[in-house]
Amino acid sequence: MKRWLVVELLIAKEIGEAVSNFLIEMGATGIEELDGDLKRERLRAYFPRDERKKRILGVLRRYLKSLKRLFPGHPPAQIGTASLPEQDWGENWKRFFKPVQVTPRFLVRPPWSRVRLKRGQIPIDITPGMAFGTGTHATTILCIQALEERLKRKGQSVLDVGTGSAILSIIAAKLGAKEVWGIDIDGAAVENARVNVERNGVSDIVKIRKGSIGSLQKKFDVIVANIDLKSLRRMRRSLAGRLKNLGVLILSGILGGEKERIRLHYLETGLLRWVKTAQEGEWVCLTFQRK
Amino acid sequence: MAKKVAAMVKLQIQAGQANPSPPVGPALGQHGVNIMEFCKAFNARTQGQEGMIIPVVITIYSDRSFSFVTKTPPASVLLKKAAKIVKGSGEPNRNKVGKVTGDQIREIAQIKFKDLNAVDMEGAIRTIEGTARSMGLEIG
Repeated sequence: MKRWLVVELLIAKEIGEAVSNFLIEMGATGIEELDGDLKRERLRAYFPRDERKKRILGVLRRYLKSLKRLFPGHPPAQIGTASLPEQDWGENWKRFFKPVQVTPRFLVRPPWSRVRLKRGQIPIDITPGMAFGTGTHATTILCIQALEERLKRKGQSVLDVGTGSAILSIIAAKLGAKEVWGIDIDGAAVENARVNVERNGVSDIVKIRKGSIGSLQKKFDVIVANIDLKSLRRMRRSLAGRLKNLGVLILSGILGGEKERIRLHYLETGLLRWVKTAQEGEWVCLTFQRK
Repeated sequence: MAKKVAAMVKLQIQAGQANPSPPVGPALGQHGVNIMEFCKAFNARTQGQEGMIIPVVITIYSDRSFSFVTKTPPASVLLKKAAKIVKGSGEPNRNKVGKVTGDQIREIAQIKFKDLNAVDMEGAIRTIEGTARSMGLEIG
């Protein structure tokens, strides 16, 4: 089996760039920069053939000795090596993504999953990538549970703010919403969202748009926003303003310690009444209703 | 969505040529990052810079989704271009392989300034000079 030579160096920060360059000129396929100590940085270089180890280390030691002569005040360098067997790195990462039973009804799974569905179980296929919402995060799960509760009546309209992978939009469609808008300001997320919407066969219901809530005129029966705390603080008026009368607002991305502050912040708009707080581990999901 | 940073990985790899081999595979695979999607996106973003080493910082979130930013090419690459050499010296204290001018150093310091963590331009210039000398380049 092919083996890679891994060379790890702890060197003065000042010579980091030059040493990286030297390693690449010697045939390293790339460099990984790791945390070092106060004065030194840690570099990891990968060479495709570990049988060249003796030669590579000889040349590298000579270079470092020469740098030591040029800069006698630098802290000493350390070299370590390891041998790494070739692996199928293009596939190995997939082991981190297992199907997740997010509620009794929904199973979120990666597209390569072969797991057999239980009776009545609805699969949601999400390709993990550059969009948040791979189904493994507590805030996603809390929002899914809230959507299940709030979409019992069919035919409602839903806005998913910061849609990410579109996981919540897809689930809203599967729960019987008649129209779902997923918006995100991140172009990579929008691309991933469209692929997932298509894969789950809900493109006639879910519309994905790149943009912010400010660009929307429409009002919705349900709005879900699983975004960062700063955006949640900033967007209370626009979120409440896009709700129909008696419409429901679901917020997540809130840590337990912040829940009361955010709850009051939204109540201060005078437009909403608080309905429910749900918690999973350190994460919280708040539900409000438009007065 | 509610992003929470789980890890950050810093790599230097060839523009337009990222693939699952090391360093990309082992460095990102251990965090469960979709390797093929990273390679595709990185190669698209660095198109037109082929042959250049590009530093890239990948942020991995708690649900293993990720984002990344590419930085300016390393100072060493810009120095080699300025000195019109293809390789630095293996013994920079003895074998000088080329020359760069003070103006060229300043120009590179300006390009690299935002990625260097330097307090001021003088600090950035000193950093670039140090890299130049470590590669066996004379300054003058």
